[in-house]
Amino acid sequence: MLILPNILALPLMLGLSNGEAAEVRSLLASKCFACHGPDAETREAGLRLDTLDGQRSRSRSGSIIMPGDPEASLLLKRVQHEDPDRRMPPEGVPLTPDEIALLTSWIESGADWPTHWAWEPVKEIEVPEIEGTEWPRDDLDHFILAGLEAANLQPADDTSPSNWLRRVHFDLIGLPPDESVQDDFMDSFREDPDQARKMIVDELLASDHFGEHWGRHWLDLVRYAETCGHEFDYPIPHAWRYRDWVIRAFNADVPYDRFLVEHVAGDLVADPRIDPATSLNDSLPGTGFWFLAQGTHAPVDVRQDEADRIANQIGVFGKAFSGMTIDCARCHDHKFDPIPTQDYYALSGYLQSSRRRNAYLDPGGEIEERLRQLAEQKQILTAPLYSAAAPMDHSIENDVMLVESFESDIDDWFPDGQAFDETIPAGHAYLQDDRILQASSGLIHSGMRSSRAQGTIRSPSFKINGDYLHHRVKGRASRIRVIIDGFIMNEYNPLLFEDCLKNVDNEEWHHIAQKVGKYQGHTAWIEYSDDGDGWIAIDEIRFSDDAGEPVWTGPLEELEPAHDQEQLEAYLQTLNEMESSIASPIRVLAIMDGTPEDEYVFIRGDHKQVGPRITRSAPSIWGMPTPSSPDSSGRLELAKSLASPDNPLTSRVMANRIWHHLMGKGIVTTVDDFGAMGQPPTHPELLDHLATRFQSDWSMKNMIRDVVLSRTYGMSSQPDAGSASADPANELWHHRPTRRLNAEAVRDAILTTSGTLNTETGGPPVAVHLTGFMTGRGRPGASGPLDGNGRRTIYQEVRRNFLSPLLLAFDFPLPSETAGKRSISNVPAQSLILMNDPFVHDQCHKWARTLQEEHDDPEDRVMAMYRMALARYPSEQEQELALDFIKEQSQAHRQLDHEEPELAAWADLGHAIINVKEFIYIP
Amino acid sequence: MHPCGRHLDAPLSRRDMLARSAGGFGSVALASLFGNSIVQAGTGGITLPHHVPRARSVIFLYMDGGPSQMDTFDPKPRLIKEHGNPFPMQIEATQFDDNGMTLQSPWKFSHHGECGHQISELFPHVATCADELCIVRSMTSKFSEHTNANYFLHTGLGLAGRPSMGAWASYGLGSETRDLPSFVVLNGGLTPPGGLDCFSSGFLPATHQGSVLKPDGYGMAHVTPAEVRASLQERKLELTGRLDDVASGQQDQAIEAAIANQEMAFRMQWAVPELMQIEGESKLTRDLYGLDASYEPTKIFGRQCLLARRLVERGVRFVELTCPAVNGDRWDQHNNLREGHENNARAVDQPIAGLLKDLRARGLLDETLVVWAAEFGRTPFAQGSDGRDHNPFGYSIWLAGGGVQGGMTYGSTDEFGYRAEENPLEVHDLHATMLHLLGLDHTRLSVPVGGRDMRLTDVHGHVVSDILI
Repeated sequence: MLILPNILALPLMLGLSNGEAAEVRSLLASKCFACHGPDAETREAGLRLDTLDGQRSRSRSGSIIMPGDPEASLLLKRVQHEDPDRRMPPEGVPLTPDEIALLTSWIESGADWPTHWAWEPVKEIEVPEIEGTEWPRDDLDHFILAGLEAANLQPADDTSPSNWLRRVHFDLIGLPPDESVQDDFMDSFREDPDQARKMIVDELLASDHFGEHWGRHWLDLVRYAETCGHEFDYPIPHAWRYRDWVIRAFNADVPYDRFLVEHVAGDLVADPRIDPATSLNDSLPGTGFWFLAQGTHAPVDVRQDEADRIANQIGVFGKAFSGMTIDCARCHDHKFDPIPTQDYYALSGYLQSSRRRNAYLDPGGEIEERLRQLAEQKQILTAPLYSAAAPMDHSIENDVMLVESFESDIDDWFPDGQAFDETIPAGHAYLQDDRILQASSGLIHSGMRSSRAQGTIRSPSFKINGDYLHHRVKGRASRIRVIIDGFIMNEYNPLLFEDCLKNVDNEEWHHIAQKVGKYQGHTAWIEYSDDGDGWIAIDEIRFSDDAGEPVWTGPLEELEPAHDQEQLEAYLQTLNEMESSIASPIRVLAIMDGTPEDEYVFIRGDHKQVGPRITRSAPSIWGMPTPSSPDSSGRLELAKSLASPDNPLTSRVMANRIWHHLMGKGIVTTVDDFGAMGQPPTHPELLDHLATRFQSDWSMKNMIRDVVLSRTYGMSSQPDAGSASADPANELWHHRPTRRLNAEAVRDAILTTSGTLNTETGGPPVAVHLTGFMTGRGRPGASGPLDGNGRRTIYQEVRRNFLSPLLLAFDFPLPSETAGKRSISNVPAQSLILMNDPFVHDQCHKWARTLQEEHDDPEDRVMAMYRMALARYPSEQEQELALDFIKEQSQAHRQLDHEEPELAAWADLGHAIINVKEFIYIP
Repeated sequence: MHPCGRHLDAPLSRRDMLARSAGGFGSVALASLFGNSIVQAGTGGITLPHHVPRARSVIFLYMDGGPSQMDTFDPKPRLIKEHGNPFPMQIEATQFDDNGMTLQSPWKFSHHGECGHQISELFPHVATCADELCIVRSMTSKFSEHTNANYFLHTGLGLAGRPSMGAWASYGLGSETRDLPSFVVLNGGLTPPGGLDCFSSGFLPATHQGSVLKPDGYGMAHVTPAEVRASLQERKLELTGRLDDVASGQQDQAIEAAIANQEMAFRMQWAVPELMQIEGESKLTRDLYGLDASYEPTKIFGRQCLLARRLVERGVRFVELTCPAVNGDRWDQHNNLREGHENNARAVDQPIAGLLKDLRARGLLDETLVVWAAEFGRTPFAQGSDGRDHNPFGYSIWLAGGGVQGGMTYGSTDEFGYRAEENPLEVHDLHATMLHLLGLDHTRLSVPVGGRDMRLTDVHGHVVSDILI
């Protein structure tokens, strides 16, 4: 049976799709699965239509689906029932005749029900035979042409070389080609088109700008922002290091499987990469993506807040890397895909077992090396001064402890950075700044190596089981923090968590109490931090139910053993000089393992109603055994399952994203959802072909190179007339549609065209430029520069509550969840900005000034403008219009007594050209 | 034209327009300003209501911070009796965890209108419109924090990222105006906690995002040409138009649409200043809205209310008003309840009454839904000694016009005003009802995103048919 011009069915007619079953699955998912799908809790009449067993089951009135016999299939009866009360679905729009025809045909031909295509392993596909063998430049072209030939459609002509050059520039680096690139390309193109294209693509892939453009695509997936939004828009410290890491990774073409592993568990990899420019561990910063979410400062239910934070993390993890909406399974089994609630809480455990930190990176191990040299010198110089100290009596062996909850063993603790090395055993003499001391009990002391050393030590997780937490400590410029349910926002606003953060600035032993009784029963850990030129020493920790100093487990006596102070001070001079050369560590937002902990199922997503505890494991749909690990979070194992070539989703999802960015539309158009509710691929064989190629080396650059060098990519935006009317939605790819530049490229193209682009790379963001319309709490005290210092847009600050109006008008996505596909709207606000934004006017004036300096002849100037703005020469008519305009407009400026009327007119011409649609619409 | 007569014809193509007017861009734009049709249609939107709408526009009076229900529209005599005693009900976690004794209202209530609504003396002017108001005393929210509650009230989810209710209305119905955006936020000075994300288009196209309009000066960003003479800009854009014609020799829908948008943008440069020109309004109108009041915030909010009327007159679909800054804080009186609420009420009372009366007098109230609501209410027990903390468990809002029954009360709280008791209403229900009045079925107004058909009401929401006419 032939289904007529239903666009969805077109590939099916051509035998291109993985068959009717995929279409039927889409249809049943959207119309039936909500009540007859994987979620048992909302299942009606015990019937499920997402499994073969369910479909072939029988009710009292007969078979739900009788293969080969539509008449006998209840499903068809019910969807066509005349009585609206009996017709399915009970709510919403009834099935259309096309949809009923599809179901009928599918049942007639046997009601085949294979596994959903995306859960099937990636298949190696034979390149299809075609008639027009001279057309393809790459294997992938065969797939496209085969589809077109089968439908008797013609591919569009090649686009012009100058347009191809402009297109590939924007697609690879997000910037237009300059005049010399245009000249060189056209020269070499005349000699050898293939070679010319290859050379350009290689140059672009090697450019630093490549990572700036493709890195920005990636940032959309991980809801990248540098502040937390909500009421006061507090900062996310060091977020930009993640942004720079992404750019570096794209530029270095870090294999995609490795790139993912470093996102999920870069802190745990055995062989961290080292950034050659800075000698820093370059596998760690990727893990910062876990923590780029929005955040509120004073949740009244912090466990709920934690559950929401983790839901966002799982949402991003699932959609960005796997095209799976796992977060849908938080409250119930997934409605459309086989993702049970257990899978969600199995993932949740990985995050429960992990902690946020601002890591202390040591460039090339230099800090460690200096500390080692210092220790050597201490051993030689000062240690003999106190080695003779008589040992003290001590009765307690391990006295750094949480008395009521668990045995104190320093090995359970989690040191981070360089300051917390080991304990000082009880009775051992030690050097603290310029004093020699000897304590009767064991200590942790961050000043032992040097007060210059920095770090944080974290306790194992425990349940709060007293009203007060007590510490016996001493220190300088250091602090104590209790982290409850992973909540860190009290950093900025202590409300409701006032006592959780205490500064330690008293160099004699003293008692600090923290009132935490409100959080009895919550999971927490303690952090002692020494983030500067100070230190902290901890002797004992315990709970009690009142604020007064508790009875400590052991008495603490400390004395200064006799020694030659003069000699000590002489030595200290040498040591201090050495210490002053110890650099500060580089702080990076990252994740680390904490106490391993499985999560409970929250029934209907409610953390107050817990169900069974679920062992940490990867989503069952991956079909990947992921060993559970009682001693660690297990994130590394999870990451490896994700990045395995056997994972059916990973390579398909990314190959499809690359296709989406280069072609304007994914093979699977729902780029973040490969489940039953997503769209099936228009070219499933092509997708698997690309995925197979991609996972052969996981090189994103190779994949991108192959696509842009294909004939398919190089097609004109003007379709062949017959093809356009047969396939108006361009499902079969007979032309490459015109595309509007994304928000960043609009701004960057203006900067490049006016010649003011500042190509500096990396570093802290440029403060956002504030207009009078950008108001609200958390507004920065000062506005950033109008032109953002001419830096590329990816380096402009992303403040959640103060996003740039220019970027928003051009569909910059809100950084809340994974946004693999941006809207491309076409709205007056875009024109208003291009017409009236002071930034645009300012750039046009700068451009005119440069043109005036570089070209005397007006015709040359117009030519240069067209080449800079549109990467082509103006036509005679365009020249004429431009020059006539200059005459009239400078006359008008002159009459208004404007200074430099000529310059003003040229700036106006530039402004008119920037407003020409071709400037932001790339054919 | 659609049978309801409220939807404009499909856009003319640029070539049609050029054919109709001989003089290039400037004259095309000016001509269309005076009547030629170009519509800012809801891109991808349905542009047809699901059923016959009762309301054509919405004016949402957002009472930032959370006015106290016990001090405005929900009198609680029991509080007078229990004043100063420990609060006798189970207390949920509060934002400041500084809960004091039971606190009576410092204001007296009296009966107003034929319906006999009880309204406190904080709102003497609004009280004169009592018969227009449908007071809902059983509103609830899910959040005790401003930002979560604000995102929830505006978008149906307690986190940033979803489209605002105004964006949904714009998406569903498109616009009735050629020269103004379909979702306008009149910002009186206080941007809600949570920021402009409260007015975002989320995953809907950018055309539906709330355009912020300031009640003074130029009004809207980017509508003021930098050129000192209009002719300088006109000549420039005329050149752009000609260059576009030369450049795009071939048909391309996206480019055609962009050209049409540029023409609309050009017109907005006139339409917005014209909107802002309120000098032509009569002395009577000025007095009605309190434009010459002695209290500065009253003047600001008066201007906002008047502009709201002018916007709905021009066919803007959804207008939201935020509060002006009064001396002190928004309606968020964690202490000093008396002074703070008095100032905030003084700022909005007369302008709101003026708006209701003016809409009624012009025959606009029946097709304009006015909603007065905040993200939550306040606690019947004190915070400290003289403040009230956030309370999402039961609070009051009101609706007027647009197909809602005036003079009725819906739902109730317990005798302390702490929790909704009878007919508790969720934010989703409010959204469902608002969409219903606009002719939209909240279960069918959906967009597929990330594997789900997303709705303003998520999977919740019931139309509150009891309050409809």
